[in-house]
Amino acid sequence: MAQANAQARHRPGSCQETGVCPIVAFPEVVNIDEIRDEAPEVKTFYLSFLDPELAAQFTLKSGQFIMCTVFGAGEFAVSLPPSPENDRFHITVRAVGKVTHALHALRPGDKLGVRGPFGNGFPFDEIKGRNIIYVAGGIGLIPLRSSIVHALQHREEFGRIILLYGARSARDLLYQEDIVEWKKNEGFETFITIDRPEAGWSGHVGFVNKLIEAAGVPVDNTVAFVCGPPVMFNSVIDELLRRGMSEHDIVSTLERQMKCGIGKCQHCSIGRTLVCTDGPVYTYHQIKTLGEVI
Amino acid sequence: MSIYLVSSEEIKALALDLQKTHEVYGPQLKPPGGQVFFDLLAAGEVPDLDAAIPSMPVKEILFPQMERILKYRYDPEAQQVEIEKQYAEKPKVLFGLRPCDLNGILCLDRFFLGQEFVDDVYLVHRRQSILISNTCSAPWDQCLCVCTHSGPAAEEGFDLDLTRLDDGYLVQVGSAKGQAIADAQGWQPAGEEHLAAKKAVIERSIASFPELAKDNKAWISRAMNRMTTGFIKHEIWEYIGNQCLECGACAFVCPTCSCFNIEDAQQCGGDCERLRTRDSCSFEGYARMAGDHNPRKPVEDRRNKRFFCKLSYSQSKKYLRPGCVGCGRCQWVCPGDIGLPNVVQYIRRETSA
Amino acid sequence: MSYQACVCNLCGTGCGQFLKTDGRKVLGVAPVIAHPVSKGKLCVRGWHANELLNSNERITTPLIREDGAWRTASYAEAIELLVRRMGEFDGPAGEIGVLASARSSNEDLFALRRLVDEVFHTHVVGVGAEAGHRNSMACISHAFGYPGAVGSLTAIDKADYILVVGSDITRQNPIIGGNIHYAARRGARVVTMCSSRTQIAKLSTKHFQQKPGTKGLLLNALAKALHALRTVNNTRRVDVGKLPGYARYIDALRSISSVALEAASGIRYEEIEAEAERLDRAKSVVILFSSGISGLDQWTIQAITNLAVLTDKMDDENSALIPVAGISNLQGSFDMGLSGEFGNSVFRRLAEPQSPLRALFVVDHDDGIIRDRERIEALDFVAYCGAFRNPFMELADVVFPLTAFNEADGTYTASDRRVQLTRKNTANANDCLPGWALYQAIAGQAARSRPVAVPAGRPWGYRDAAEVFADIARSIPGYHELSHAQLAKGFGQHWDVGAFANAGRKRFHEVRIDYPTPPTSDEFPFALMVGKAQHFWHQNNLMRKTLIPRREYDQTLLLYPQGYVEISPEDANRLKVKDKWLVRVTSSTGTSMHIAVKISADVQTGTAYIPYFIKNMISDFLIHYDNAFAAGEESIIPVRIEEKE
Repeated sequence: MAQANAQARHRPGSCQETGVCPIVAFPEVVNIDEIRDEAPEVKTFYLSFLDPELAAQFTLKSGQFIMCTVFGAGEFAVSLPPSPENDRFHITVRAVGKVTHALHALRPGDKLGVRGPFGNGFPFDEIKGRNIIYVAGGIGLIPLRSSIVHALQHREEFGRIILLYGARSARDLLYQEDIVEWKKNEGFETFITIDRPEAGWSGHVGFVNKLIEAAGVPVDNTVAFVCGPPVMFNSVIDELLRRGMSEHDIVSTLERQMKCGIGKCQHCSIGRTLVCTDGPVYTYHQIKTLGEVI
Repeated sequence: MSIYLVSSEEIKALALDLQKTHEVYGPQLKPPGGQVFFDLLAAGEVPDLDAAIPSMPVKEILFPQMERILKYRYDPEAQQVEIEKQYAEKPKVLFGLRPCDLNGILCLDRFFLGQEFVDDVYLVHRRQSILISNTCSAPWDQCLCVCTHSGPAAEEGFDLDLTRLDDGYLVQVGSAKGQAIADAQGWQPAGEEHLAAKKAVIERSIASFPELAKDNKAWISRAMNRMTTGFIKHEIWEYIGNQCLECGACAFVCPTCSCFNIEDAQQCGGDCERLRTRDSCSFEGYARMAGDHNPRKPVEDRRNKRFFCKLSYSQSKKYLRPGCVGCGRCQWVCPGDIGLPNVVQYIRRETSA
Repeated sequence: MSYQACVCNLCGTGCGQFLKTDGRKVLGVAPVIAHPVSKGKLCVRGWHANELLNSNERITTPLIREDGAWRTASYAEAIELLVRRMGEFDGPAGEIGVLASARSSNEDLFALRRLVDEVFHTHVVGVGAEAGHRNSMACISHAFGYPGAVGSLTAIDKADYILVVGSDITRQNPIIGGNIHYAARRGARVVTMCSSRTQIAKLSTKHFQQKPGTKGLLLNALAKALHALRTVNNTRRVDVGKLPGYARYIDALRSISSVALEAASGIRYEEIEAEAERLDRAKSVVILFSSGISGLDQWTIQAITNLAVLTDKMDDENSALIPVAGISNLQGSFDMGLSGEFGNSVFRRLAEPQSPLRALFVVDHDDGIIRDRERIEALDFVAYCGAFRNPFMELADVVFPLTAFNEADGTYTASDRRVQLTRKNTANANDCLPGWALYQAIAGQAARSRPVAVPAGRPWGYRDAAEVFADIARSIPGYHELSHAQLAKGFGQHWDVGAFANAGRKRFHEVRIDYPTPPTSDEFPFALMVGKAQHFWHQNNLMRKTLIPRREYDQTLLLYPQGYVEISPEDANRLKVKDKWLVRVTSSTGTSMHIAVKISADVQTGTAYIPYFIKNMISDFLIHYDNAFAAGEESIIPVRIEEKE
């Protein structure tokens, strides 16, 4: 078993392409060290590899995902919220299907299987020196977290960093402790909104696209990372384009049903690309030309 | 590469020889109805090289309908897991491949082995396998390989290629592996006249294709052009979608369809198996995500997806050839009568109108 | 590793199927190209039979309930218990009920019938779907003289004219649907009468989208038009005029008023007259309707058989009249005498609080609808036999495993009387007995423990399924020429209608012309109908155990977790609801449920359509509508639909 995985780990090709050596064929076992309730139906699981060699080797890029096995229930694709550097290995998951419900029923000490990381990741090298706007709706903050932490760890490489975040209610806001920490960074601007007014909430109310106005977001020399449910996504894109942002500067990460993560099962194909190997990160321009409805 | 003239007896001897070291698969007839399957030959059995095109594609062997790829046992009390890989490697000989099926394997090779990642499960089946192709001297009812550049004779990818001539088989060597076999068998070299005889066989074979298939040659390239540029009217897809009974058969019998699904199934005793089963993009649940978002809902969208995959140029880049190898099986098995040749006809009808 | 031919067991079409098996496991499926009906095609269920047969959810050993928990037992012990407990009940007094399975082989059904007669001595017998098919058989028997399909399903491939009454056939029996589609493409006229725009309606040459509940009226109107046409053209068939019941039938047809017809059905008589001309021109006619739990009511089936007889075309070799069964051996279960007697239905006995029923013997029962669950729980003794695990097991005191359909020799009778043999091609991992052997063992134990009178010449002692079949050939009318050896040679054989004395003597039914007024009212303005959907075959006892079809089923449930009611876009507009919104559906008897709306242009305004697989619907909502089961396709429930508050 160990031997088979050692082979898989050193599969040529993928390592050369990404500089990262993913676990391709067989899941490697991780321990659930800690579980935190993030929001209703959303939990964060802190994980560590049983194999110390692997724990040392495992590296990721912002925007990538892993295939996670809940033993007895199945495997699902999940985006990676941790930063590539100096961050705990964790995943944040909302219980929506059979497998994620099974995951939510686990306790610390339970084991999971992990394959990956897979996918292209966010184009950090190309955006140095520019402003970054993060626009997240609901659990759309999960795939953006890695990138936010990474950008803040390299604060000097970027201009303004703005987070616009909307959730259904105050209880549904994720990573609240993180946000407090992030705010301590100079020049990190945060605008948070909830859909409907509620007692004890003095912040913005309404959908997240309204925050674009409120935040006075820059358009020039700016890249926007947008992630959220389809309705929110479309309204945000409309607003950004209206303000004159280029389709090439709007970046998002797509979700599709995935079974293999390595471009073989084809469940995640959109037009002529596969989200698992060509994505999940695409510019809006690419998304528009994929040739299928998003 | 070398060429040999080999008697039928020597071909049989080869099949029996190979059985000593390999699992040998070849065409055989099954009752009732004498249906042809490309199946494992029992000890002492030889492939029926005159049999018609196998009713199921040879991908049955390299990419089975259902396969256990992993087994694990999770103990929730002890919070311990044992994982065991399930697929074992057995060198295989595919003896008497029709050129369409050979081309199908080449497509699967390029897709499963030639992309960024290598598919381990397929590799295990394919590694060390020997491919022996067999020229089709006459087409069957549904054949259209002449339109898709995949027959009636194999051009590449084989280790040995056979063509039945009047005085035996012309064997052409296609690889070092094939050469080693030929050397070990000690066959008689063939001459130019045998190559000429093979050419005549191919010409006769092409001439006996139905008019429709010959005519389709232009249709298919026109359809590919249309498919790629995306100018096919929505009504055509709706017309096709209305006839689709959503059985998935077209994908199951297509030599190049490679979509699969993975599920973990709980065993009685607490063991779990990871099953890899074939899938079809024509199913409604294929692209659905947990939490209710289905990017591809109406059946015509799903049909569109499949034919786009078979016929567009961008998909062809993946295989370095069209995704259709012209075996015609989809036409055989489709209860809605929308096999690929018919779809090509509909597209042509539209574009010529 | 090899391909073994068998008969698909997943609906009443009887398609040819190869299973790829290594003798221990089923690895794959391939279609049988030479099969005369399926011709190399299979539907989504057939293509995934390997997934079902690989299911881990098998019953592997006899089980006995002890202090509320299961323990494994030997056959000897479990059979001894069964026979001892069953001996406590009075069969002739109606204390024992037997619920057979229409998926069992003829051999299993025949042996069970013997067990019922010789050991349980009860008349309370049924297969669950019996009501619908019994209606079909009674009607065809009256009209054509034998209880079985007229002609063969292969007639579809050559007939000039094909009439599909009701049935959503591309969902329920997709391969028959596909054959009809091929027929339409070669130029046959395909006519569908269905109140919703089903796929077969879309693929038909002509779709009569009549108002719900008026199929029978429409058929009678077509007969009237045909008769009138022949009268005008002076082409009336002399022989038909001499058939019993003719005069009264024609009189009744004459009374049909075109105004009332149009008011009731929404179809103009002129349209029907034009159709009658086409029907008259056809040389051969195939008529198909669905039979079984969701089949047609008696009046509609009688209208069908009358029309068939009136055409005078049914003796053509390419004509047929086929009650299409959703379950693989529904016809066989009727032939073997397991579909029970009128008025003695097991479910009726369960529903009557004062019925003497105390014990139940159940074979392979679908899990989705355990009707009368409380009554079953209160019975003194319940035995369950089946290949797959099933919630019904939880109600049982003793459980017996059975072989799956590919693990034992057995014959199955398809909708068109085609009897086909499936050979054992895979070993049962646990050496379970096939049904006939289990029932024989039970009979043997009964004979040892309390000597029973065995009718002369009826010994048990079957050594294999072929011997059981030989007994079937001796006892069951129509099966006399058949044997396993004979059936092994090709793709089965239709049982011989000549065994019935009245075969060939056609008769008309008396018809009732009424103009159904919609049961709807201002208060309950929607006509709710119940039907099937692609992956929701029966109650999914089997489809739930596959991977891909189950995913497809879950797909719909995920989109509509509470189930759905289909309504037209116009009605959705009027109700101001959108797709997937929850609504409250309230019936005229006061039951109500919350369910999502599915907007579909395929349903008529004023009608609503519900697939009948949704569990809480069956038990809580529909259960008050006995008619929904009895009247099948024609059942209409007046409901009110409101946006959920």
